[in-house]
Amino acid sequence: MSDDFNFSTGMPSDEMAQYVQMFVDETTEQLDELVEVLLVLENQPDSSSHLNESFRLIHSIKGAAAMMGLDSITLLTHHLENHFERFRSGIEVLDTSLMNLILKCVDFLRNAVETLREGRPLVSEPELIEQLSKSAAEIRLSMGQLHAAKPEPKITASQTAATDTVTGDALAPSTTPPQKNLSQKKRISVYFDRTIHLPELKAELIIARLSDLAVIHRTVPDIDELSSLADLGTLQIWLDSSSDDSALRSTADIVGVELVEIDFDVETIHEDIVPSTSAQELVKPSPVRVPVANVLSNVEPEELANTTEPQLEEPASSDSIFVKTSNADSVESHSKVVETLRVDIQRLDRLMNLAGELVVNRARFVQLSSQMTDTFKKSGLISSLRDLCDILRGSFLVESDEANRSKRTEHEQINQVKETVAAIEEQLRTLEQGRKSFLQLKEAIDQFSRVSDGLQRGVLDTRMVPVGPLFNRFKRTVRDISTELKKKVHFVIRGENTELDKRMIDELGDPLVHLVRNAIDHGLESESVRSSRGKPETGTLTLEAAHSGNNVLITISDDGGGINIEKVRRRAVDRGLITSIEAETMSDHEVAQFIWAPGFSTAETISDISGRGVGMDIVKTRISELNGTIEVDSSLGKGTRFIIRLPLTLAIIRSLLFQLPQGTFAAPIENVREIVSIRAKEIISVHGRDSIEVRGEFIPLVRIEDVFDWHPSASSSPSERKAEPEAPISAFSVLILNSGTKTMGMMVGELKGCQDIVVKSLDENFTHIRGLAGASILGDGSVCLLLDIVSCLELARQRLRDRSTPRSNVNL
Amino acid sequence: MKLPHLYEFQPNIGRTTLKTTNVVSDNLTRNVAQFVAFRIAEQTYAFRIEQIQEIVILSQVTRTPQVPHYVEGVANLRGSIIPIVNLRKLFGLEPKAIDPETRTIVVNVGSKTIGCTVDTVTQVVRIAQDAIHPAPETVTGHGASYISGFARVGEQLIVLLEVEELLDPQKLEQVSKVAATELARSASQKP
Repeated sequence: MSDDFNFSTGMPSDEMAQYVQMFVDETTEQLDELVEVLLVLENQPDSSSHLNESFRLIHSIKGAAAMMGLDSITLLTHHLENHFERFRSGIEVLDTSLMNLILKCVDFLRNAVETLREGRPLVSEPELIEQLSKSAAEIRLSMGQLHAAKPEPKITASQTAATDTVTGDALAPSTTPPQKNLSQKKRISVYFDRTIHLPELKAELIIARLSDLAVIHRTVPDIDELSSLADLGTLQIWLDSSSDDSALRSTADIVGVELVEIDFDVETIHEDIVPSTSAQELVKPSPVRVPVANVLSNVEPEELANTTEPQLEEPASSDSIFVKTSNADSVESHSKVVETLRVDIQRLDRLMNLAGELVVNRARFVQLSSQMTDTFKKSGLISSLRDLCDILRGSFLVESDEANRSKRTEHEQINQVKETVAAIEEQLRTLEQGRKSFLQLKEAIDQFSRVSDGLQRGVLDTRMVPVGPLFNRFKRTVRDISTELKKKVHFVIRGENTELDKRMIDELGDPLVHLVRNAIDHGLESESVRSSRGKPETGTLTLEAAHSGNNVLITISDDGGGINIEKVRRRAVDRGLITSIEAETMSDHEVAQFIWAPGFSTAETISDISGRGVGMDIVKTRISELNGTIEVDSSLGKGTRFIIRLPLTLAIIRSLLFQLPQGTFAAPIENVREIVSIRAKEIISVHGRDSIEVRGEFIPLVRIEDVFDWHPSASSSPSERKAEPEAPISAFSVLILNSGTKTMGMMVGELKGCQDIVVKSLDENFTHIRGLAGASILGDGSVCLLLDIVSCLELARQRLRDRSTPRSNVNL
Repeated sequence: MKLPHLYEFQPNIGRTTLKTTNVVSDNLTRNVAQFVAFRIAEQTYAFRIEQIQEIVILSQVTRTPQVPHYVEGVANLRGSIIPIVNLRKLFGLEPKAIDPETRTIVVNVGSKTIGCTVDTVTQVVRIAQDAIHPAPETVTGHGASYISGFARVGEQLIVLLEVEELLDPQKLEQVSKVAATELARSASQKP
C-alpha cells in the first residue's frame, strides 16, 4: 500500500520556502472550501459531485504539500484521498463517525497551515493517520467477508490507490495487459531519497530516459532550473505517453529514487501551482471519450481482467463521470473566475497609508487655494489697483498743466511720479499674469483632487473582500455546536457578496463566533420546548450582511426564546448594577443593554460553549474597536437579533471637524445627526443637568470637559479661559451626536467643515484613550483627535452621574 | 534597523551647536560611549546616543485628555503620531513655558516612538566606560532604576539615564512616583 511512505515531518525544504506563503494561502482557501463541501456531504453522503469536489480539493492540497516537502500533510491527505476514492466508488459509506474523523483531520491540516504561517516546524499526527488506516482496514475486511469468493477485495485495495497509484516496486511487466495504443496524459511524481548527492543530475537522467518513451510537456521544477536548485526533493513530470505505467515507472525508478507515483492527469490538478500551463491543459482536455479505459489504466492489471464484472463496472463508470464533470467544472470555473493577484496585506497597508498621506496633502492644497482665491479669483484686486494708478496719473496730468509755469525741479518730480506709476503698472501686468497662473493652478488642484479621490477609492477597493468566506466558516461552527447540544439548527446565510475591509473581516471572526454560540446555546430552545411552544423543531439561525449607506450591517438573528427582560432586570439588581427602584423605571430596551455589562449572564448553567458571562462585553469592545456599533433587539419567545453596524473601511473616515480651546477635534459624520445653533438662554436645566430642546425633544448638553479629564496645559493660552464665559453670551453651535439609540448635544466652538480624515491609532506609539477612536494629521500638519462617539456618550453619562450622585449612594 | 538620526537632524537643533566634549584624552583605545546631554532645571542628564532617534523642535503639540499630567499630548512626527512626555513634569518639577531653547528628544522604546521635552540639549559627550560611576544605592534602592550612572565632565556632574526604564509607557507612572518622592526627599535634606 502506498500508506507506507517513510516520510519525515518538518519544515518545507529550503528552495520551497519562498512559496510557503502561497501554499498557506491557497491551502487555507481549499480547506475552507473542503469544509463547506463536507458539510453538504453530511446531509447527502452520496452526492457524487460533492464527493468528487472533496476529492479534488484533498488531492490538490496533497499535491501542493508534496511539492513543498511537507510530508506530514502529504501523508494525511494521502490517507484522506484514499477514503474519498472509496466513497466515490461506493465501496465505503461516509457515515457520521467517519465524518467526524475527517473533520478532525481538516482541523489538523488547518493547524498545520497556521503553524507554517507562523514559521514553526510541523508535527505529524500519527494518531489520525492510524485511525484513518484502521477504518480503511475495517472496510477492506468487511468487503473481504462479503465477497470472499470474488476477486473484488483486491480491487478495493487497489482502488484505494487508483488515482494515486501504487507505490513500491514496479509491477511485473509480464502481467501487463495489452495497452491500448492511445497516448495518455500523465503526471509522474518522483520522490528522491533525501540523502543522495546531486539529485538534479538524477532528475535530468530521469527526464532523459522518459523522453524516449513519452512526450514531456513540462516538469516541476523546470528542467532549466534544476541545476540552480539547492535541494531537490521531488520532481513532477507531465507527459503524454502510450507506454503503460509500469514501463514508465521502471524507467523513472533509478537508484536514489525513493518513490515513483503516476497519476492519470484527469484534470489540471496542479493548475494552481503552475498557473501558466493551466490554459494549455484546458484547451486540450484529457481524452474524455474513453473515460473507462483511462481510469482503468491506473488500476492494477489484475483488475483489468475483471472489467466485465458488473461490480467493477459501477465504480469505474462513476469515475468516468468524475472525469467529465471535473473537466467541465474546471473549464466553467475558469471562464468565470476573475484574474486575481495575491498581495501581502502589509503592502496594501503601506499603500493605504500613502494614499492617506495624499489625502492629507490634498486637503492642504485645497485649503491653501481657497485662502488664495479671495485674493486672486476675482480680478477686483488688480483692477482696483489699476484704477488707483489711473487716478494718480490723472491727478498729476492736471497738476502738470497747472505746473507748467512752475519750477523745473517740480516738473522733474512729477516726471518721476509718472515713471513710478508706469513701473507699478508694469508690476500689475506681472500680477495679472500670476493671477492667470493661479487660476490654472486651481484647476490643476481640482484635477489632483479628483485623481487622489480615485486613487484613494481604488486602494480602498483593493482591500474589500466579500464576507462569504467568513460566513461560511460558521457552517462548521454551527454544525459542531448543534451536534454537541443536540439541537437542530437550520443555518441561513444571506448577503455573502457584501464586501468589507479585509482587516475588518479578520477582526470580525471572534465576535461573531461568540454571538453564534450564544444564539444556539441560549437563544434556540431544545426541540421539546420548541414543539411545546408550537414552533418548528428545527431552529433557524440567520447570518446576514447588507449595505446601508456608508455602513455594512451584519445581522445575527435566531427564532429562539429571546432575552428574558425580567430575568435581566432581576440579575442587574442582584449584581448591584441598578437599584430596584431604578429597575422599575427602566424601559425594556434600557434593561436589555445590561447584557453588555462585563460578567453579566442570565444563564443558570455554565456550559463549555457559553454562559460564563464573558463574551458579550468583549464582543462589544471588539466591535467598537472597529468603529462599529452593536445593538440587540429581542422579543420574548420569538427570538433575538443582533445588529452590527460597521464602517466600510477603517482607515479613512468622513468627519466633521470643529475647534475647541483644547484643540481640533473630529467626529465621524455618521454620528452627527445635525448641528443646531443655541443661545445661552435656551439651555434648560433638568435636575442640575443642562439640556436643550430640539423640535420638542430634550437632549442632554455636554461640554468637552464633561466627557474628558484635561490637565491645565503649561502653555494654555488666555483664550482658553476666555472661551467659557464668552460662550453663553452669543449663540454657539451644538452637535447633536447619535450612537445607536443614545443622543447627546456637544457644545463646540468654531466648525471647520467636513473632511475625509486618515485615522491613525494612538496606541501604536502610545496607549488607547477611552473616548478617542484615534488621531489624524490635518493639512497644516497639526494633529486632531477623532472622537469615539459611543464611548464619549458613555463617559459623559458616567461622569455626570458620578458628579450628581451624592457620595453615600455611590458606596453601595 | 533604525539608525540614530542625530546627525541628519542636526540642523533642527537650531542655534545650539552641539560640540563634542572628549573626556578621554589619555587612552583612545578605552571603551568609549557617546551620550547626548541635556538640561532640566539645574541638572544635566544624558541619554546614550544609540537610544535616541532624533532631536526636533516641535511647533504643535495636541493636548490629549485622560492622560497623566506629564504627558503633554501627541504630535505629528513626519506622519506618525507620537506622544510627548514632559520630563520636567515627569520629574515633578515646576513646568516651564516653551522657549527657543526647548527641544524634544525622540527615542525608541521597544516598538514605540516617544518624544520627551527637555529645557535644552547641550552637547554630545564621549564618556569612557570606566569614567562612569554606578548610581549610588541610595538612589537605585528607591526604585530609580532609570538612572544608570553618573559621570563627571569637567565641572559638570551628568546623570546618565536609561531610556527603556525611563520612558516605557508601562513604567512612566512608576518613574513619576519615584521621581516625586526623590524630589521631596532632596528638598527636605536641604537646609
